[in-house]
Amino acid sequence: MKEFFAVFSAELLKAKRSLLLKVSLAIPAGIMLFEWIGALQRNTLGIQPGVNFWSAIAEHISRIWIFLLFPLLITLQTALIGETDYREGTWKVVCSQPVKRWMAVAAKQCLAVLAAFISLICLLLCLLLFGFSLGILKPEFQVSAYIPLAELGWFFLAPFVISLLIISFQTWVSLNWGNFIVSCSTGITFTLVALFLFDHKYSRFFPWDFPGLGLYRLIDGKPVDDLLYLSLALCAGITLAANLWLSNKQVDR
Amino acid sequence: MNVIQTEALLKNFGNLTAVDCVDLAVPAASVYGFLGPNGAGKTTTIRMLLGLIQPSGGRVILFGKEYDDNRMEILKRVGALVEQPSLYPHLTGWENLEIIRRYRSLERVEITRVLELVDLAKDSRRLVRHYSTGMRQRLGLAIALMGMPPLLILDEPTNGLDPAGIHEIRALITRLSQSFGVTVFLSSHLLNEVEQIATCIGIINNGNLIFQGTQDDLRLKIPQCVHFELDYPEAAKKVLEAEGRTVKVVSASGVLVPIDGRADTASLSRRLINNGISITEMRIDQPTLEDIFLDLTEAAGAAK
Repeated sequence: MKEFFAVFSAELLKAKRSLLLKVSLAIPAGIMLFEWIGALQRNTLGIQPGVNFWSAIAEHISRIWIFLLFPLLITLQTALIGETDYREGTWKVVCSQPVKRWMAVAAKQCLAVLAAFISLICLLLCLLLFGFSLGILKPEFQVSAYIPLAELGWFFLAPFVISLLIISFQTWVSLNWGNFIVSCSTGITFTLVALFLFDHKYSRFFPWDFPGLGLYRLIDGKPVDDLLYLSLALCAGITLAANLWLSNKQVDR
Repeated sequence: MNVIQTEALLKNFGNLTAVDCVDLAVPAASVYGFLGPNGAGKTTTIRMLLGLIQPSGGRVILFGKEYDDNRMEILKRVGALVEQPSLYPHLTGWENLEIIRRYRSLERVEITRVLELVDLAKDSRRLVRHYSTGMRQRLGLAIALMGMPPLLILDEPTNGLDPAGIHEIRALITRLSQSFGVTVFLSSHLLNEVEQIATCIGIINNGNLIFQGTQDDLRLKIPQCVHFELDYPEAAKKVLEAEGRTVKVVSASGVLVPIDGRADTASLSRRLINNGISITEMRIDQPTLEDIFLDLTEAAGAAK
């Protein structure tokens, strides 16, 4: 375990001053900034009477976030993680160190999860800031003093956990091809396919639609346990397969 | 004991054989110059030694142990610089070394030590993207030196260095080998780069190891020649060829004849004078290692 943490800490150091950290914070903050500017220009937010302000806003933001921005952000983050060691050929340096290859791969997968989680936390913090500032600047919006934190957290956390499957797959793509364009185009293609496929009966078989399906169930007050377990099981499978594959892959660059 | 030993090492890329049954034997504490023209198979061999690519056949034995069964143990004792130095440009020199320190679980003081060794201490807090080519090369070398591994595998380590930098690196390699007993496996396509420091030489061409041994062994591969400056080179050629000699007319007045020791020179000159040919100048031509290297690689290329 100590050995793995040493490898993971090396991955963390590689992220220092990198674009990864910047996009992980800037993209969620940017979305909330646009929403905030939009809200300031409106006279009403169109929230149904009796619905908590925070729940309504969380639902609105989560639709944009889960369906489009989060999978695209994951694509970008994992592509950047892969590129870190392929752009300058440092992967061969990593692989010639006395480090188990699977650990180096697992550390990158953990970094991808951490980066996505940081983005989620940033989004939630900005969401709170969004509400508080609107409460002050736009009193007519009647921002509720009660914040259903647990509900809000679960609203974003459950789709995030379901998205681990996508993170795992995208990390494998980025490490296997080591090409920023391949990684990005794969992620963008799957995200767009998921959008078009969402209303189709087969969407439940397409992993990129799982987070959206989970979100809709949460909105409808239905359980998401089966989706969570399925996603985690598939994520574990992909992670294991990717580790095995990449551990035995020739380092020819 | 050989620190590096390969047996019938083979690497095919589809139909192309990049490394063909190479038997390396690198003695402990030696500086082994691994020479070959570009594309000869040097980097592929190095990648196989480091386990970066899997051989298509043969065995890699480092420190007397099979690589495949002892990867972790072996890599702890190997420092490497493969091709151009691969660094993280958005990090400082110090941070690049810190990454390796974490991978190798070394003490922090190790970073200071290697920075001083490669004379980068004062620039260690600068971002690598602002480093010159020579500084990047030295940092790549510092990475290889982290933890003072008993075996250093260096692929063209003086690329991009100025003459002073090349001299420093040569001195450092010699010191590492002589004072600390480090075995250095040094690949290059320039013979003069390794000539001054290598105790053993291996020459690879078209994937085949065409020579392996000491520099003296290499010199024996091509005999000395005597160079005559005379008035009738064509006539001299006829006279000496009639005796079964190989004669090469090298200029309007010069011929080159391989000899078997200095006594042979006297008999050759006597023969020429007896046939009415005046010798205006005579000198022994000692082929440089570069001549031998070119001769060997060209001959191997022609044989292919």
